[in-house]
Amino acid sequence: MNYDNIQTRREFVRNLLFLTAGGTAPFFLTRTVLALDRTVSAAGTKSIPGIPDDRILIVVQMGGGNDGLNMVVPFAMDEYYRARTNLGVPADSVLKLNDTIGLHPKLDKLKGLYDAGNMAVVQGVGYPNPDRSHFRSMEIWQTGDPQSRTTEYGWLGSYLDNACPGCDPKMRRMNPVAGVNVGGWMPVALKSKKGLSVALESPDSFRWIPISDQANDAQKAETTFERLNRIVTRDLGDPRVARLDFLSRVAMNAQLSSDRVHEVTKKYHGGATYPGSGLARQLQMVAKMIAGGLDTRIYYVSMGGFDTHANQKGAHERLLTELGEGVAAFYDDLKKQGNDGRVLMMTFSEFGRRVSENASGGTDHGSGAPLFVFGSRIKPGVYGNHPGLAAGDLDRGDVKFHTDFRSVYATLLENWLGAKSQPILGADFKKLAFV
Amino acid sequence: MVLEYTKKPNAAMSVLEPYRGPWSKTLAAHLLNRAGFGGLPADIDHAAKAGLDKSVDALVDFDKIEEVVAPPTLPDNPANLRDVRKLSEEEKKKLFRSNREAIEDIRGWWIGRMLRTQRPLQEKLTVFWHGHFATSANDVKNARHMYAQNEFLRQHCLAGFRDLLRGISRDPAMLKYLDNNTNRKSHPNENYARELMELFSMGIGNYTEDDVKAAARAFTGWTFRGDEFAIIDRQHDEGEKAFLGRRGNFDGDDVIDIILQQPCTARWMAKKFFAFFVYDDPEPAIVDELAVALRRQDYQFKPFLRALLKSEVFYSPRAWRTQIKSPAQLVLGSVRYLGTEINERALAVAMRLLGQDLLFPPNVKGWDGGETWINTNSLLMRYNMAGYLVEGQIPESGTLPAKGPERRQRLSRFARPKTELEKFYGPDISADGPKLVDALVARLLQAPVSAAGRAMLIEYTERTRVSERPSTVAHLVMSMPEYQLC
Repeated sequence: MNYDNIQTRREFVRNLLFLTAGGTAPFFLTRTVLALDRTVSAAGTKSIPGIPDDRILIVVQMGGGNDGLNMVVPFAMDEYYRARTNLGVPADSVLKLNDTIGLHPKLDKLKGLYDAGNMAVVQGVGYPNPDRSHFRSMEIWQTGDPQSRTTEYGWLGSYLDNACPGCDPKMRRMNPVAGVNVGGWMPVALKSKKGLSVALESPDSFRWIPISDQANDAQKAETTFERLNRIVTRDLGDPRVARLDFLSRVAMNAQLSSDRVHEVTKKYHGGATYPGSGLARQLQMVAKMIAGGLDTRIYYVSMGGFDTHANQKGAHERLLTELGEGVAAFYDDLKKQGNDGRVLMMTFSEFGRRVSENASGGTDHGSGAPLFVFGSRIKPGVYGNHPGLAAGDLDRGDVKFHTDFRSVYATLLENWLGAKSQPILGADFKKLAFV
Repeated sequence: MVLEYTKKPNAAMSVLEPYRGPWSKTLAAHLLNRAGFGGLPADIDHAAKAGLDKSVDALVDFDKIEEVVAPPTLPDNPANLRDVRKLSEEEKKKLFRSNREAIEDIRGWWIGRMLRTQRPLQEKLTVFWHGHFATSANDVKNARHMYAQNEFLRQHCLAGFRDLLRGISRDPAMLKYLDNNTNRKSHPNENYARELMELFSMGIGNYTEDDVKAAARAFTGWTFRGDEFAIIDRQHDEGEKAFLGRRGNFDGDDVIDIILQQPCTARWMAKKFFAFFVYDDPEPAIVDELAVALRRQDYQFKPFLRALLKSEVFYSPRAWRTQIKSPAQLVLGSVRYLGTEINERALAVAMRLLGQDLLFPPNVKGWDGGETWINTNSLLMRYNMAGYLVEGQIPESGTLPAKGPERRQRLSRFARPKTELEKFYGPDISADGPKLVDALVARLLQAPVSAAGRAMLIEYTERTRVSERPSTVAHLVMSMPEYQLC
């Protein structure tokens, strides 16, 4: 192949695919978010009849172990107030969802979504033999595998690997191909066997910037840059070459994604007022990409700081405010775009916190906890009972889960994304009714 | 020099068998990359001439090298929390601001030290231990405590592990970061005890939840007063504890002693050292052998690291230029190779944008390193940061607009003018494309570039104005996958 006659990297990719149409095209090329123009966009993919193929799932990670008991407050349980003498949320301030539970007062914006029928609360979510290590438990949630220590790929990555008929390069269907993480890191949840998901903090910094201020020189530098970062088939047995191959694949993915992201985000003109928080900024970026029609169905955003071992009250209130205001602004934006019906959002944290507060005005690592699901097409309400807090109901001082988190995943995969969940989760899990 | 314990009867070859192949500039550059932040041409020449043994010894025996760097200025903080509570809101704000400012100073001071030190291995190890005993100024907030921890890690970077664990368990910054300052007999706080085992010494899966609870009790009452470690007797649990199969009225030091008796501890640390200095994900047999060596040596890291840096495996193809540079390695090396004068605070911003905010690790696990440094976002950021370093203009966040007031606004407060690369090569080199390319590749990459890559760079020079060549070629070389490796 004569690389030098190819002008743009899109043409380069197109030609590479053309020349290797027998199925030997490097898989990642066919599976970057942005591989080609949208000639084969969303409309091409159908797995389960009756499920629209333009649906989007957004995962909100609440890192550090969110105190579920103070997010969804069991205000009717005396045990709660006995265990939380300082941190307990007073019953009269709770935003009641029913006779027994209610939202923390700082989640008033979410109460609005709940009342409008756009929110579900799933209670008592966890997994058997809960692990109280942040890192292990986060790994379990992200891989969807509490048993194995060797699962390399994420549950969303496996969805991307398994779900789409468009994955066959011969069919030239490019969607859905990879997930997008908003932020500078790449969560294990998005790691897949065949594809490379995309991480980006902001479209502005998401491109190679030549330092020459003359357009002509800059163009020459850019062409050379692309050639220097081109993937060549090399001896992957050599550890150094394997590293270079990894780097050049990421570089190629970045360049292709960069073009596509710039193209789609230009179309966004702003629909809602977002607060100044980190979560809101991330969600607005997602809103831009959805508005522009980026060909991905999976977005990942995250917040941190939930590890409230000491002085929890103020810190946790600020985090819940950030969550509530960010999610509400985002849904407002989606409604104005007319895209709210395409989007479902799920929150999770690696674990809840100990029922009894500690002596530092905080709480230690716990296990089971509630999570939220948002969307205008979901079946709203509260799913599952609040786990009991009496001494006999607890496991080492922690609430016992009754709903396996993989049931939530299976529900989302099958009933929202229209993908078979068994190959992704390794077993069949009972589906819930929220969608 | 081989340490006795590395010789096993009938073993084909020990991991720590010394390297006996030819010594070259290439391997000297490798040593200076891994045991420091990369060598300048003169440093590489010097190490190549000195030979392997002398070069390694000079790095490891850094205490023989005089280095007097004045410590940074630190704010005078109230001696204890009670005094802070007495302050007015305005005074509290001022105190917070002065500490925040001082933390930036300390970070800048540390980066300056890393850039100019005559003891590169000591600073490299300080970074290693900072990632291992990860502690964030976000939670600690007290600048004096952050500096004290940094200095503790520097002074003990090649000490025995027992001293390190005992010291870090008494370190005010750590006590605060993992909440042990509020770990009391009545309501133990498990945070420190858990991370001590999970991340600092044993690794997950080698202890039970009951062990965590027992260890937490052993550390009750361990706190600090002002800048000093203190044990509050009435908060300390004197009861019997069952910990890792032993029983007794254990305190924190007993817990550390029992941890050090666990074979998993030696494996955990051997693996961590090896991954940092040699390559990620070492073979289990290598870890086993290194762990045995480490235990026999009573966890003394100095002889361990000396042997490792002289070993066959350290100079093997699996190790050579297979490590993805950390942001600190990338930024510090680049600045030194380019000879730029950039304010250290701006360099801290550069590292933060690439994912390594020194003194502010993302969590107690520190930085995972290896391929996790790289994703679409961070790789483009690395490439763009190279351009900013060449120009001496570091953005405060994200990227710089091409021109105009917004560019000035987004420029780091600490930015400095661009480098003059020509100063290294004499005035005429820019006119000679191949010569310029070879010189910059040798200086920046320190390894041969492929013939195709060299041809592309030369072709680029032929189409570019002479005045533009040095900086743009440097940026292109630094925007290659090869430049991400060391």
